[in-house]
Amino acid sequence: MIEVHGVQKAFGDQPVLTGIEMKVADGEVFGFVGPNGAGKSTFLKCALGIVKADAGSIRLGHGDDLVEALQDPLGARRRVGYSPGETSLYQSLKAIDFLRFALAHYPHADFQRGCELLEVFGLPANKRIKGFSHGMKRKTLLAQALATGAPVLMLDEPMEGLDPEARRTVEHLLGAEAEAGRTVFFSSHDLASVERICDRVAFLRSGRIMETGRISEILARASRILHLSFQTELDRSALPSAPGWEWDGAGTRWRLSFSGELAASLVRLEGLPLAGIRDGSGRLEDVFESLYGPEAPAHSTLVTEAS
Amino acid sequence: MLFRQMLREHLFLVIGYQLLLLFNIGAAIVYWPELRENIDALPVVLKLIPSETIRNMVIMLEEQGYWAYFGIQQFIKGGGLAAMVTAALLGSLLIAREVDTRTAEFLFSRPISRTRLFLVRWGSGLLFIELPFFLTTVLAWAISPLVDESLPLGMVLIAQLHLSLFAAAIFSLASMLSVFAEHQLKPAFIVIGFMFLNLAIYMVKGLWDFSLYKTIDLDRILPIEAGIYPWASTLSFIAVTLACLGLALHRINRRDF
Repeated sequence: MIEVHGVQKAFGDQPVLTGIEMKVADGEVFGFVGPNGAGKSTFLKCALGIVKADAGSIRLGHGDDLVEALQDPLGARRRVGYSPGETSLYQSLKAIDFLRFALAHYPHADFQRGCELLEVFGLPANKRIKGFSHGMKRKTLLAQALATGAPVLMLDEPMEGLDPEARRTVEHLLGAEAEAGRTVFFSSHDLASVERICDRVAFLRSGRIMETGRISEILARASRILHLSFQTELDRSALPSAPGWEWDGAGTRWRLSFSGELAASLVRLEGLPLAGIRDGSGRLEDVFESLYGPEAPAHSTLVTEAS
Repeated sequence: MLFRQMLREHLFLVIGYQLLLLFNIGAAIVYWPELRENIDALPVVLKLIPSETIRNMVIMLEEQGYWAYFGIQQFIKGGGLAAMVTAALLGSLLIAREVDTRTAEFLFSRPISRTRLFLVRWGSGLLFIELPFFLTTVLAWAISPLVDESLPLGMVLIAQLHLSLFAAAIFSLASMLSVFAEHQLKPAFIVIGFMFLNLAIYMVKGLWDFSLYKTIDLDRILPIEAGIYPWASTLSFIAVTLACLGLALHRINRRDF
């Protein structure tokens, strides 16, 4: 479980996190999404005491065994299996020695499980890390985080650098961890993975949470999008308008975002020389674009929701 | 586990440092019989030596023989150069290297307190510097009979302790700077530059009293054989070491990585 209240962090006079509020339940997979520099990694570092938060509270653990991370960072680190975003590792160590080093101080670490995970990821346990690719280093970090036996998993960009097959393997593993009752909290740019495995998601922008909620609910609230192609080139003036409608495109290819019923909107398109129509709605990427695109609201429309 | 990881990382530096010390002292002892044969000729060449510092060393060598010769070897080669450079390098690597190579985020996410992590690394580094230093000294004592000389083991170890505490202070200074630094070479350059400046000052008559090397030179080492221990210098080394440790721990527990 992770309970976050009013976390603030500034580097000098530059605020990085402002009033972060979240609650993630035991056994839940939670996605933390935002563009580069939004503060995702800083938040994870605050939870582990790698970076000192200026104010707020982060309680984490399992069941009643919760610890206040900002007061007791060592206690927090014992309860969190962490995979950093940075993949720089100790080059001279073999993967198996790195695993031994990484797990050395965790009270419930399972070294054997770590070795099995190296095998699952197809990593050579006796090869030195300096010979590893970026993706292999990422997998090594994930293996050690999963093998810590800690009740909370915090993973910074776990899918970054992985091929599609490895992503599916990680998604499967994280799902299994959540089913076993562990809290999985991860930041990611890979919205497809977030959509597939997360129960809930929070969108972060400039250190503020813009939106939090179940993915299905967020998608339902989001604008619908239709990708239209026409037989002839059309000007914007030739396209119909309605409240809440926005057209984007040129010539024969246009994108319509709208809110409301699909059927009612389709009726309005009658009479246009349509060549093709594709529903682009219902994807997290569209929500991301609406929150972070050029026309996104500058300030938070904070929706905080405890599970 | 932290100690093993430190040893793995710095193994080549430690082995190289040990070999350098052994080679220096071994070669010096092997050369001693030839110098002993010609020690009466030293006053002749004395006036040709431009540096008064070195002239003083030669005078002590002529007066006190093998004990002074051993002291000079330890001061110039061990305490003066090899140990100082190794102390500066190892100390500067303790934390700054983790920041520089971007492994700090991983290291500080492990469930171990920063105080313990720093102290284990500092202790390991100190051991890597001091153990070869002591081993070399014991070896010098052990092989001295091969050149028909002997060293009083107790006095040799006490003199070694004095030099080791000096090295510990320099190592702690580099370690403390490492906690503040972003790049590993910066604290190393600062400390090595500082020590070379002190060595340069030590070579200038009238200025040498302001050099740190004055605290470990033959004026301090040779009287140990007569039971006169340089307590003031020793206590100042300990004070510097503790002050650097205190500052380093204060900073590391507040720093963002």
